[in-house]
Amino acid sequence: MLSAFAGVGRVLGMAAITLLASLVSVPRAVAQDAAPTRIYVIDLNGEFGYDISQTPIRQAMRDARNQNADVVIVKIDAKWERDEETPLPDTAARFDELFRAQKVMPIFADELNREWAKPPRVIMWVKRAMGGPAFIPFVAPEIYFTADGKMGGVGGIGTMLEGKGDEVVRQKQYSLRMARAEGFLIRGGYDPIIVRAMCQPGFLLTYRMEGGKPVFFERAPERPDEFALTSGEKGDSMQAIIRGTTKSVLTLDADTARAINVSKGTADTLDDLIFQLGLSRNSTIIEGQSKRYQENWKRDINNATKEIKKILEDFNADQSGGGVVAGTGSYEQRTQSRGKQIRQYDTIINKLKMYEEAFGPRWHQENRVPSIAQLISEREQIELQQLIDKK
Amino acid sequence: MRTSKLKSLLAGFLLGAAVLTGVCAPTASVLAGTAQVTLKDGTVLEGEIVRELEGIVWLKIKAGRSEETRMLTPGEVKSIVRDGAATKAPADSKPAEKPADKAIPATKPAESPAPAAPASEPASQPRKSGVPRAAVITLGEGTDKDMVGVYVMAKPLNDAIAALKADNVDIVVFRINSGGGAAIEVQKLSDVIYNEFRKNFRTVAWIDWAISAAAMTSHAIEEIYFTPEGAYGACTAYHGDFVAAKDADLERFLFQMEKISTRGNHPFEIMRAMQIMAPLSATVSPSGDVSFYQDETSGDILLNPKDRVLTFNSQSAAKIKFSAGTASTLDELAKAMQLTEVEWVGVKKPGYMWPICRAEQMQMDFREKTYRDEQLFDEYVQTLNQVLGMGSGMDDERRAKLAGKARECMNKIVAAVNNNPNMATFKFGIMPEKFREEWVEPTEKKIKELTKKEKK
Repeated sequence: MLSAFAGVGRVLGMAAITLLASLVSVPRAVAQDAAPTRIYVIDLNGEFGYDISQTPIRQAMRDARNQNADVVIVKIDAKWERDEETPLPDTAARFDELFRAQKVMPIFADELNREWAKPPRVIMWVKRAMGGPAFIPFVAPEIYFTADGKMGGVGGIGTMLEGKGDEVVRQKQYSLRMARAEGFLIRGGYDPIIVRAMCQPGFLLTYRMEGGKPVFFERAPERPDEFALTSGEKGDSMQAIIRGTTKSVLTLDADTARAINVSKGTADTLDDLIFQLGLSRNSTIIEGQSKRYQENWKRDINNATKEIKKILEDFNADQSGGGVVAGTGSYEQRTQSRGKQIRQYDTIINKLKMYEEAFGPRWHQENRVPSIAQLISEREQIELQQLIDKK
Repeated sequence: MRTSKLKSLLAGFLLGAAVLTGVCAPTASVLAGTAQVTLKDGTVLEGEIVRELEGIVWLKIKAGRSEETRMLTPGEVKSIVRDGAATKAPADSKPAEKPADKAIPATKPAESPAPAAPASEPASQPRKSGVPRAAVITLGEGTDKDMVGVYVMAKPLNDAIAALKADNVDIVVFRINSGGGAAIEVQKLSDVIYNEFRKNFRTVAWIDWAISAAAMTSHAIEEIYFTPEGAYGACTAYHGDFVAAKDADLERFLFQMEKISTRGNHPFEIMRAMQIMAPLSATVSPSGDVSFYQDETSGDILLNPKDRVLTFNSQSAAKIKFSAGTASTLDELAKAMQLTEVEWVGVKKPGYMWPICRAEQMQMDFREKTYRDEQLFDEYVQTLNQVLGMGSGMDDERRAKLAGKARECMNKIVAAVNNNPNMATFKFGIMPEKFREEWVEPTEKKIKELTKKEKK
């Protein structure tokens, strides 16, 4: 009975697997000889450093590896807004998001060598890579843009520390930052002078094409075939800021990026991109878990945020007379109340540690959540109260 | 590099000490024998060959009343006369363009001595004949655990030497990933690297992120490679809210780094441009020699404008031969180092680009313990102080409980300082050697007072 059932089960199972395979694997075309190129797509959207973070990206890349991807396409469309109704200008100087981007970039660089037997071809596909995300594409040798794609918003070198301390220390800070940013371009095979123009207001950069390659000059154009990428001015007019035509720092759009060989092409759809990659005749899109990882991550950090805020609200309610606090009620009640508070502190601290990468200083400020150190200190206070309490 | 007034004073103290420690002591792997070494530029050096490895010669030279050990690569050496018998430089050490001119022959000569393993620590892995053994040791591991003086320290490096010798390591690669830290540790690190590592091993720096104190630490190493995204420099000393070291403090830092530049055989002008806003340009001659100029225009390559502080990237470092090559993987590094065969010592672990040897595991354990302690150190101190102030007016039972809590906190603090003596300096402003006398004993006294029974 068992074996007959198992036999039927196996047939049904095989059918199910076949059906599943037909759902998850969409062959685009089948060449007669070569196996189709396996393409894995990762969509990065939302707020950089919060929604777009290293944990779900790393999970997706491992999924791509486990599914034997040959090509990984990373589409970047990060939020770039002050609030839901106000977009940030291109000149918003968010250079220091580089240090957040640094947590993501190794996934597409060192970790490929470390974790893949045969590293995949990584394609960065830029729609909106402003602020920290602007650095990420540079670690890959192949960047494509959408027609409305933009990459920049990382100014501030030479200006971000104005009025603070001594000039030589400010220069130290600018210098180390630039060297790090330049390093990522060198890694991807790009001219590091490009990122200097993206980061340093007043840096004048001109280029002309020679033998199909851009040649850069730190000066104004001197010939008709030379083009200025930046104005050399430290700031921009209000008109330019509103219209998105600023030139004090370089913001790459699809055309400019293509002109200076940062972008290899412009594609608005995945089909377009795959065609431009030369893979349209024989490739398969892997329906991986990337989307699920990104969604789960967003759900988990949102839930953790809600839970932490709720606990803190309960604390406040207790403080304002809504519950038992130290010094009130019987010894048993006080002990019980402190025990509950300590458990709640532990819950918050554990959540904060678990999602530390997303819960940066801005998150703490916006959600009015104390730092882990402060919470540990508060928790310790409760333990001390319990220690010296008497029946 | 951040400094406080105290740290500046300490740095000055250590700078004075460095003059003494710069005198080289014979090492366990000394090869006796005087020699006359003729360099390719015509310089003749006389001294004692204290070590040889893969064509590299360590020559102890008398300079006035002191002695200095210089590491000479095959690319620099024309011939060696040993006790009267002349030998030519290895045939495959042609005067090539760098990185080759800092490189060494690929195969280890059979007679090259391996550092003797202490009798009590047998070699963990057998040596393959003629294949050099190399180990990677990390100095810092990124933003959380990278501060010089806290996570990058001379003590655990010194402690690791026995393990490296026991593992028959010939080459030590320091992978640098630190954004800087405390000035007080730079001299100690430089001393252990120069006086211990460079005398016992072919010592190489592989730069990913060597900023400020991390660059100053690496500067005692002559053979430097970069990762493609590597950065090195920005060594301006400051404290507080971006207040630069000035006057005598600044001069001490500059002088300290002039001496460390000599150890690494680096022109002092490079480090100076990394410390202050000093212009620097350079010219590379057709024969590959590099000349440096402390202005913007005399050299063909402008390295640092007059109003900036210098940080190298992998390209600028390679252009003026500060870097001997660029490598993103171990294989690329071995190739840049001209090692046709190399045995990387250690255990391969998931998530690591290089095998983890025992010496590296010691660094990792040290950082992990320091990290845990650092997270909770302030809490231990705060609780301790609070408990010590709470005893007044309480009965004996509660005072005993408080004393127990205080002792628990004190023990944690002492354990943290034992692991990382600089905690005493950074957290209490006390020199480590005075910690017991100035902090532990008074604290013990206060705890005892807490347990005294109240007079009734």
